[in-house]
Amino acid sequence: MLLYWLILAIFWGLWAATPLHELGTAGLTQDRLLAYLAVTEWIAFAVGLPYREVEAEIQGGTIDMRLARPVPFGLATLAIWIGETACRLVVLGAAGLAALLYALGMIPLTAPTAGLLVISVVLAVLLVLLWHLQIGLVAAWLGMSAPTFWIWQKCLFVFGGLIMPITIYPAGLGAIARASPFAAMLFAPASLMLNGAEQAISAVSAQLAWLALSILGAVAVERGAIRRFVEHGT
Amino acid sequence: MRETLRYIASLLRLTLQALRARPAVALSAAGFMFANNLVFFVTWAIYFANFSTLRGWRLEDMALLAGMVVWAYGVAVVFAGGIRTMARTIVDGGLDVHLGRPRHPLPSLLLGRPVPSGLGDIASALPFWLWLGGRGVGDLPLLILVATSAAIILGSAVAIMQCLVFWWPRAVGFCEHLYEMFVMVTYYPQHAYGFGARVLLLTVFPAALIGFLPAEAVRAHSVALIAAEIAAAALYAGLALLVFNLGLRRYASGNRFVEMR
Repeated sequence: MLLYWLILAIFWGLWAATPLHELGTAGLTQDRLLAYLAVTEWIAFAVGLPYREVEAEIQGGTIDMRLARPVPFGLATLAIWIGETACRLVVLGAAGLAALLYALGMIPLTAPTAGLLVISVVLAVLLVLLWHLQIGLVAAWLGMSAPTFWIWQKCLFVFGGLIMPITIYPAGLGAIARASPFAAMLFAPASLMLNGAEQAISAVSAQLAWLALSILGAVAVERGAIRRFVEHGT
Repeated sequence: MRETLRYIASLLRLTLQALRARPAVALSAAGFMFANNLVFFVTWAIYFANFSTLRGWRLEDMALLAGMVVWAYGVAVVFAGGIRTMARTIVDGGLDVHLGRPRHPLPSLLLGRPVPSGLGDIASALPFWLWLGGRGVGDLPLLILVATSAAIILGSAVAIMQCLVFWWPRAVGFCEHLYEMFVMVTYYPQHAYGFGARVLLLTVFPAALIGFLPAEAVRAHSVALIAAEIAAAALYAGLALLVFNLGLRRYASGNRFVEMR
């Protein structure tokens, strides 16, 4: 929570020092950018670094025990992660609201948009967790997952629009970002703080599409990892 | 003094040998970290594609700062990788192993456990400075001097934070949080903050001494700032030694000796 507040404070200062009027018609203010960042960082901090658990289990060989259980490894792992992340979402959500109230004196959300925001954040968190599962399982081939995670995380930061909304990106980069799954993880829910409910339907639809694809990806990666364990041992 | 320096040189040699033990792992971790640092910098490229300046700073200045931070962090974790796990080692009674040696325990505690990805951090400083920062090869000695001073400050500041567990043994998680906050703050230019925050970041929580001050020193070619950075490195190193020695008086664990019997 301290880290979350710290990053909000850093960018509150940074946006205050930024000549935002140079954006012209984009209409982004210091307040709106802080509200946007509060959502992207809320998701990033709530998820944490769960891939490390899978990586450690593979490196330590303890994954054997988990694979022998009747519930599929990926499903059981995700169930645990969802429970843990839900707790952090609630605590950090309260912390984010408190920070916005302190800095802005209000929460820039209407009740219907708040409902949509919760749905979108839940979908985003599920998406990120599914990718963490796949990244953790990469250790089955590479022996470690951390380097893959570093690159993936930075792609999430850049193409997901962690700090700035991708609407102000240069045209080419913005198009790549919008077409990537990363935008569904951060930009889609956070954009509700900028546009209200205007584009909520398209944002949630894109999230559902990426969720379906990510589930297929996770199943394929888990099967591949299990095949490798069977052939090469753990 | 000469004996101590020879001892430290031997420890550093062993640290580098440890990196060579698994060269493929070390090289791939370094390569990924190199790419990781450059990808993250895209954020600043996007920022400066939209905005002309950040209180007088441009993209080249941010590249200079990023280079300072990655060099400082890389040098610290490659040559003094023990700083990352120091609090845990103290709480677990791991200091016993170092106390049993006929030398001060701090060098052997810090100068071990090299983090291979730190090599990628060190390597990525060069494109930040020479390519994105627009500096010349002739600037390298000065850049390396101030960035290495920053590395000493970083290592010392983190060591001081980790020493907190001597007085508060249950603070291992808190130390980890402090460390993460410290590293995070170093990456952003501190001149955007208010006066009070800047004073704090130049003293108690010296994040501004890792990237911002060295970058300013090189930008302004200021001898005073360069001297201040070097003096700060000596001061924080001394402070880390002092705090560690004070904490050591409270250390009473003997569990590792029992384990090693």
